[in-house]
Amino acid sequence: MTLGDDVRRQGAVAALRARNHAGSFKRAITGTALVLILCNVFRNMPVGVRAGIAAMSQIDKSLDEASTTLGARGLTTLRRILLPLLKPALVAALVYSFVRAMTTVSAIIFLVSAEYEWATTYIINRVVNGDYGVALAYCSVLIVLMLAVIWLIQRLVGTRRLGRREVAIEPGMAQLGGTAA
Amino acid sequence: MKAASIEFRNVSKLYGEIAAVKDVSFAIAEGSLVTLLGPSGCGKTTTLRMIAGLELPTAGTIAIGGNDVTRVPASERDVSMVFQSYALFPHMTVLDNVSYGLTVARLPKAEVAERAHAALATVGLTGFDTRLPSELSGGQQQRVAVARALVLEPGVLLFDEPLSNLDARLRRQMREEIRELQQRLSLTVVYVTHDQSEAMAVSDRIIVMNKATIAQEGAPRDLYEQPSDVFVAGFMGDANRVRGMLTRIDDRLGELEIGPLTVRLAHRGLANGAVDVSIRPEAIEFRNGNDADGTLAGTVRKAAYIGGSMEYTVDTAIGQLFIVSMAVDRPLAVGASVSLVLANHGVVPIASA
Repeated sequence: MTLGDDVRRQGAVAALRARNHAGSFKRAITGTALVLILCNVFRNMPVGVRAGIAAMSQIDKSLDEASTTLGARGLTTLRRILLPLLKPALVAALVYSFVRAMTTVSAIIFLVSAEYEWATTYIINRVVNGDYGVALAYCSVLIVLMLAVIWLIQRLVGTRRLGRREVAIEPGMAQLGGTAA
Repeated sequence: MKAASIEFRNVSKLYGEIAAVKDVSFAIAEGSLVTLLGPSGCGKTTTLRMIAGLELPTAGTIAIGGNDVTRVPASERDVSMVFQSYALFPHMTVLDNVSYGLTVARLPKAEVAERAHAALATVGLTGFDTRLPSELSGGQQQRVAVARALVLEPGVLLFDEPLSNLDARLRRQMREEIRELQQRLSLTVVYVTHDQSEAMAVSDRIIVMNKATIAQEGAPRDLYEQPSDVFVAGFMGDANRVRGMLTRIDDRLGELEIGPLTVRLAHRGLANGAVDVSIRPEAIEFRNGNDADGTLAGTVRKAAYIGGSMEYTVDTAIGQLFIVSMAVDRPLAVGASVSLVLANHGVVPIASA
């Protein structure tokens, strides 16, 4: 047996083990309440994160520094300064996520007709019929299509660039009056 | 209060390749008010933030009260800071803002209340306890920020351009109050500004910074009257920069020729030959009668009445000169021919760069 064979064999064993492990996790959460909760948490996470970031960027950085120079460590600053100031944004995100989670079912299900299909409902219907192969193929196409469109948008719109402020010009005596601001 | 000294030894701060502060050393005595003065981007605020511990130096050591604090985090340093934007906590009342440092230190409630009220009284804000920062004027917010910093009785108090958000009248009043407070409580204060008149009014000593290094350090009067280079001369008040020829007379005095003018002044150890000369605008005087010997002929280009004095721009053979004259009742018209002489003070030879 060559060394390469050995490595290949070990790799195969490891892959098999990993699949078994993943399989056991899949079995453990399938059909439980946990999987429903996890689904809603992950679906609504961007809303909460976005709201948090937006509110955080509104807070003057020197508040944080003022708290630090007054002797507060990170956690104290978070609890007494940042969280109270983030409260409105957090409440809004919580309410929005809660309402969305409670009423989750896409309206699109009720809107598609035989004439105009929607990719996701089409996939669900294939799954219901047991056509897993077709459903997975559609999923793959959808993912590739979305990646392409996102890439295109990035290329067209581009990223925003913000430079640091310019370093000052030296106030010369050459001009009359110097620069007694 | 136990005011602490500050010492910087060969401190540098790099952001990537760019040096914000380059090999800076200075010492600040306890109980003194020292200003870091310089144009924006010169490294003065970075220096202040390194004293507070909000920036850590790339190289060198910082000592406060004789103890090396180079790697001590900001929350553990015996230093308080008044921020340019005041940085009052907007969701807390005035009293809660001032009490913050004490409650974080878990002092007993009675002591917190007593010390917070005392600090508010120190800055003249008794009775404002329950107001929110947004309900205060700029000057009052400034006082709350000072009270909040004072209440911890820090060894060092830092001010980062504290007056830049106030109007001119209030600025003068607040700077006098800060100076008065510093003297009364004999605090060690480090003060950052880009306004030289503000720096001269409040400071025991001034450290002028330029391009990440110290350009000159000294008492306000020394910096104004004995600038070490043309940058300091130009930054510490208005100055005309011209060229002159210096001839030594003895080991103190020299004779300086500037065009047709000659003045006797201290040569400051400079060698004979061409030198740069800094002339303060108030050091140039008008002489009656044209073309007198030993005077400089000129033509008035601009004249502005600014209340207590006149400001002139005059074209001469040695270049355009900016002149401040106290003779407001006899203003000169634009286009008038004048003869100029130099006063004994306000003319300083500087080594050519």
